[in-house]
Amino acid sequence: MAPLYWIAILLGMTLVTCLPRMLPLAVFHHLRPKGAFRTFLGFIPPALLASLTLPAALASTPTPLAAILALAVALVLALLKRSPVLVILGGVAAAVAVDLLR
Amino acid sequence: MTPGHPFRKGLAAGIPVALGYLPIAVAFGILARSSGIPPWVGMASSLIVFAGAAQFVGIRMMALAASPLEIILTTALLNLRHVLMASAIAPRIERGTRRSRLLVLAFGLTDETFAVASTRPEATFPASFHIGLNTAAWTAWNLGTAVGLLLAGGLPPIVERNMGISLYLMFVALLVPCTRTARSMLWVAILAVGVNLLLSAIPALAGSEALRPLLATILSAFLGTLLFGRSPDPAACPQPAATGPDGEAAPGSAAERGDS
Repeated sequence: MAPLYWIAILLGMTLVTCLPRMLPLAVFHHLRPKGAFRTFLGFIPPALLASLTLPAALASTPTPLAAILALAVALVLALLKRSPVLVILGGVAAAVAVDLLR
Repeated sequence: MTPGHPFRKGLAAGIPVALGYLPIAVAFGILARSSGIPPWVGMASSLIVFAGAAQFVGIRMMALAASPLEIILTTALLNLRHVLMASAIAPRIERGTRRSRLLVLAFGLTDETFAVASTRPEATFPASFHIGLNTAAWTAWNLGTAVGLLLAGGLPPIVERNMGISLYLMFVALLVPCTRTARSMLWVAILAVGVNLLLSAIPALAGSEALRPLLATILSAFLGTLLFGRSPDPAACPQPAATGPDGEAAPGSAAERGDS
């Protein structure tokens, strides 16, 4: 492939990645949303994090059981107010342990 | 730069993101190397595109010699969710921030940096905090990519094949403190998972990991607005202590302001 092919793809990918990030940020930073729309935007973080996590997380380890146990360990550690680093390491350790025991 | 500078605070808050990114970026580097595309394309992709899922898909499509238009349209679809993230984070950035700083901030807005920033306890924060957070994430992503490209494998296989869950675990770590204190957020999160599962029963959406979570998010946030009707309080997301390793109050936070 010619370098131009790669450069065209990289520049195009950069453009369509940056625009959805930049335009709303520029617009809503100056026009602060109010009322119901503000409420809607406030609910976006928990909704997005939850829908990105499940069910996709179940397919992120060799077996769904490893993912379930990793999520359970992470949930307990998060409920115990441990740091995110510890939550991640604890969850991954649980997944590795399940994999070792297979 | 003082230890309490928002940029440094952002760098510290980005450590969990960086930890989650490293193994995945190494995997991306390995994939790019094994796909037969020039290594500089894989590295440039991480440097200037900086969009994990889109990069993985893009590399696969490049390896299959897809047309530039196909690859770019797929990337655009995968990144549509960032419209929601940028819209939600925009009002949280301190007023009066220069447009050039907003553009720099926007470049580094990913699922994970959004997750950290959107669950901060303060109602607004300086752009430099988010830029610090993005810098930690971007640096880790590029370091990992370089390691993957150069070494073609840097972790024991058993760890590598289980590290894919680390980013989801980070979402759990960030989501739980919010849902503990704001019941409406808990219900919206549960609603989002339920809607996501229901949508996966629709054949056209079953395989779409880009469109389905996006629709589930919009639907459940809309339902949450109808059901709960008042604005969720951003201060209802207490940040776990260790993300601020120096133990200082974040700029603009209730603790720093002396609010009880």
